[in-house]
Amino acid sequence: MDDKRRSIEKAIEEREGLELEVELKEESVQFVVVTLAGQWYAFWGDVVESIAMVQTITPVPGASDFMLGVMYYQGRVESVMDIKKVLGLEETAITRKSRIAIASSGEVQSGILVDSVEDVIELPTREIFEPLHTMEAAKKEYVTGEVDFRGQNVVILDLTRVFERVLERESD
Amino acid sequence: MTDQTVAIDLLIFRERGCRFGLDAAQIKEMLRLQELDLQRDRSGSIRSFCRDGIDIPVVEMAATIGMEGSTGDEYSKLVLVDVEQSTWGFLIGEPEGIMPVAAGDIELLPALIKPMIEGSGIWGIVKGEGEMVMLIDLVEAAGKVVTQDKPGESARDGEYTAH
Repeated sequence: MDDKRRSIEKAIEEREGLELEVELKEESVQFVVVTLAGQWYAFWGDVVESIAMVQTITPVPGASDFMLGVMYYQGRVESVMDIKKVLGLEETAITRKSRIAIASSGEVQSGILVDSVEDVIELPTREIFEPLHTMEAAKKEYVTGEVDFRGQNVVILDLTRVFERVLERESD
Repeated sequence: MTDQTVAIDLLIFRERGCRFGLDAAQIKEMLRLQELDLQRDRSGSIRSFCRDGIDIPVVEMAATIGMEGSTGDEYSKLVLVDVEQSTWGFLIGEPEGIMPVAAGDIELLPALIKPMIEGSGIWGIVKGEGEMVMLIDLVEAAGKVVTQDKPGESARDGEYTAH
């Protein structure tokens, strides 16, 4: 019996050791959780370069309605996009909590106006879920998954895809 | 490192709250509206002006680049620009002055905005006295007008020619 027990305990120890190893080796991903029209959304952290306070945004004549304009940030001109319009969300006013997430993907960089930045979180990849199929069409094409944040399901918005679609739309 | 050697002189003016900069080298002449024999179309918009018996087409710079709510009353100057073999008049707001700008201080348009306003004539941005100035190329803007509309037609109801 002792032998049997010892071998079971050894097996459990080995399994726990493996689990610990898996956990240590497991990739984690960073997300920036923001608020848009009263709901939380997550941006992939590797796309967000920095978070800026809202500054003077100069409108550019002839630009699409979701393009708020340009601003100076760290010595360069950045476009500023109202992503709520792209996603078909209701409009909200700029408040003291509003921020501009500077996102960069390939050759494209742009500011994204958000109602607030809630948190920057790091999660293991196994905690990223498939997005719900019942989502609105305008939003769905930019959603690449969901994560749990403070007990709520939060959709992950793929800003790279947003940039790609904007450029595709404009080149049509 | 910014290039401080090459500089352009910009004519700075304001249209509907936005500041614009026009390379002074593009300006053939700048005229005061009050002194001109302006031809208007049926809706009251200025379409051309007559000088020495020749009709010169006139367009609103703001409308050309997609700014809304234009009315002729806000304009104070007419800038004449040579576009290929023709002379065009662009209605602009009151000029603020000339601002010399080093080429290295000019920023090109961000990647997402550039395709949205391709061909409008807006080609860059410079920071002037804390406020952004949109750089406008009126020769390019005139090219857009030619493909959309021919000013002068409704005023004359006849064949369009620019001089």
